[in-house]
Amino acid sequence: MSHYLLFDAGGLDLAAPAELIKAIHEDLDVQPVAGTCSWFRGLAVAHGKLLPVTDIGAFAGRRSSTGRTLELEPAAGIAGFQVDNVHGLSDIPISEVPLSEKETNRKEVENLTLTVRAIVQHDRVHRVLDVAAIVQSPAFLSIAE
Amino acid sequence: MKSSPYEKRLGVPFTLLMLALLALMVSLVALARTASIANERVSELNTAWQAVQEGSVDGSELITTDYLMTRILAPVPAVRDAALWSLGLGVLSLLLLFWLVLAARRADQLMSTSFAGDEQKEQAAVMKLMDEIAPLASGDLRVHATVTDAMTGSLADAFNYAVSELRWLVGTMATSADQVNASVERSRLSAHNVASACAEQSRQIHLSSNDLLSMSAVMADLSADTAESTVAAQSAVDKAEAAAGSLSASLHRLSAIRDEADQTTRLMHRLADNVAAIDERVVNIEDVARQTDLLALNTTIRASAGTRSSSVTDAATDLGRLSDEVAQLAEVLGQATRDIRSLTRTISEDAAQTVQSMDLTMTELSAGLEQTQHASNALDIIRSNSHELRERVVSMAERTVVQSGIVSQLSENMDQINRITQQTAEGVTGNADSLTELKDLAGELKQSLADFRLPTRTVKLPEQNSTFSTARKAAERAAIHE
Repeated sequence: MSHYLLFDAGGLDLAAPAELIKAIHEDLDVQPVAGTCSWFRGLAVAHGKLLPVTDIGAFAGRRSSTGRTLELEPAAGIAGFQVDNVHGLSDIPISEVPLSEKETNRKEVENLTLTVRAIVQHDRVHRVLDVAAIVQSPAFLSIAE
Repeated sequence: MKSSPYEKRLGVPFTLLMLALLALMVSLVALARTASIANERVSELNTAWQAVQEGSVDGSELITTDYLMTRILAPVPAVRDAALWSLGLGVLSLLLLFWLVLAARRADQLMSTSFAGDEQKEQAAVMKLMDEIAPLASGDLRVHATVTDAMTGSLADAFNYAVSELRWLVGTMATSADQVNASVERSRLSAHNVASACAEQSRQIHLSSNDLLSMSAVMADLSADTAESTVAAQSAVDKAEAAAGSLSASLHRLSAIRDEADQTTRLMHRLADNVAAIDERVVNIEDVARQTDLLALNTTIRASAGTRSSSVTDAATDLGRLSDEVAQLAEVLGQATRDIRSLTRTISEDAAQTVQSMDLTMTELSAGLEQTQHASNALDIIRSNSHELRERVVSMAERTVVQSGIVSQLSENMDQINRITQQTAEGVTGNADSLTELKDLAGELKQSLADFRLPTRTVKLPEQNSTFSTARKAAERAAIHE
């Protein structure tokens, strides 16, 4: 049975497969990097390794996220997602929930491609992110300002 | 002084007779003195002679007796001369007396022959004088007697002088009477004014007396009100003292309450500090809880990923790190628990002390409230008494204003009385001046009357304003005296 980590960032309820998350960090010391995009928070050191941290809320064109940082498994990509709140793991099966007009509007959600796959818990619809696609997307990799 | 022929005839023999009698007296005195001396010496000789007869004398005494015999012979010629002189002078005195008698008889004869002619002349002069002074009997003071060489000449002269003095006296008395009448009239007018002023003064004094009586009654009421006000003030003072005592007790209790409040404040500060420490520990616990939640998430993620773990070594490393983190969290939680227990004990003790202090505070507050209530009641009574006292004082002030008006009226009345009194004084002064003038005039009149001997019969005074003026009488008197 697959587990998914439920969280929210920039007002969006999201979910990611638990096997793609290596650790959850709090109070991670992030050093900003000059000449990068505003959603790129900078570089941090996690478990003795360099970890680039991206603000998912700002990356999605929403408000900036200030919460914990999700460290991805190296297999998925060396990256960290700063989100607002982590709600926990869920073993609820994935269901298909149609996207709302707001979620399909590119002006509302940038750089993220939301799908109908979602986990509904406590009447909240957490859209399941395709973490590998995000990490490998050109928008995610183009951090220059 | 002119002597008469009778006196001229008797003067010489009379003088010689007097001188002879004087010499006779001197001679007799000398004779008596000489006889006395002779008598004394005879007595001494007799004594010595008796001693000789008794044979109790010696030779010296015989010499003395002889001396005495010699001395007794010395006055004898003097006695004889004095006797002869006395005899001669006695004879001379008799002769002179005889001459004096003869001269007196001759003078009597001469006077009897000339007396008949002189008597007729004197009778005519007396009749003329009687005719001239007859109008005086009817009060006519214009009479004037003719002064001649007759015996009545001097009488007429004296009569004229007396009449002139009488004229002056009568004129002076008339003038003085007029002045006395005027003075008496002025005194009467002054007395009338004084009487009127005294009547007005009496009326004003009566009014003032009524006002004074009214004021006295009101002042008596004021005195009664003042006495009641004094009682009320004393009651207020007593209540104030009681209130002061209650307030003092309240202050004492409030001071105790303040001390208890200070203690409570300190305890509350400690309590706040402990609560802050607990908050800090709670924050730590929340942090630990969050970290525990995070650790749980990571553990769950590791557990879910454990099935896919490729290395047992990585899993052991993850579990060791997880064990260390849990141990650290347990240590943090244990320390936080101990701190919270200690803080809780301290808070409990502080709370107990606070409750105890609050109990004492409440007790003191209750007592203070009771004392304050007593003080409040006393102050209410004081306020009531003060209000009553204020009303009485206001009433007294109003009455005092009325009394001030009465006093002002009384003052005006007294001023009126003063003016009337001044008028009375002026009238009295006028009376005194008039009486003084009257006294002076009476003294002048008395002095004028004392210079003359007036007849005992009443002199009929001439009509006033029909006789001479004072100046005319003075001029006439001066002319007469000249």
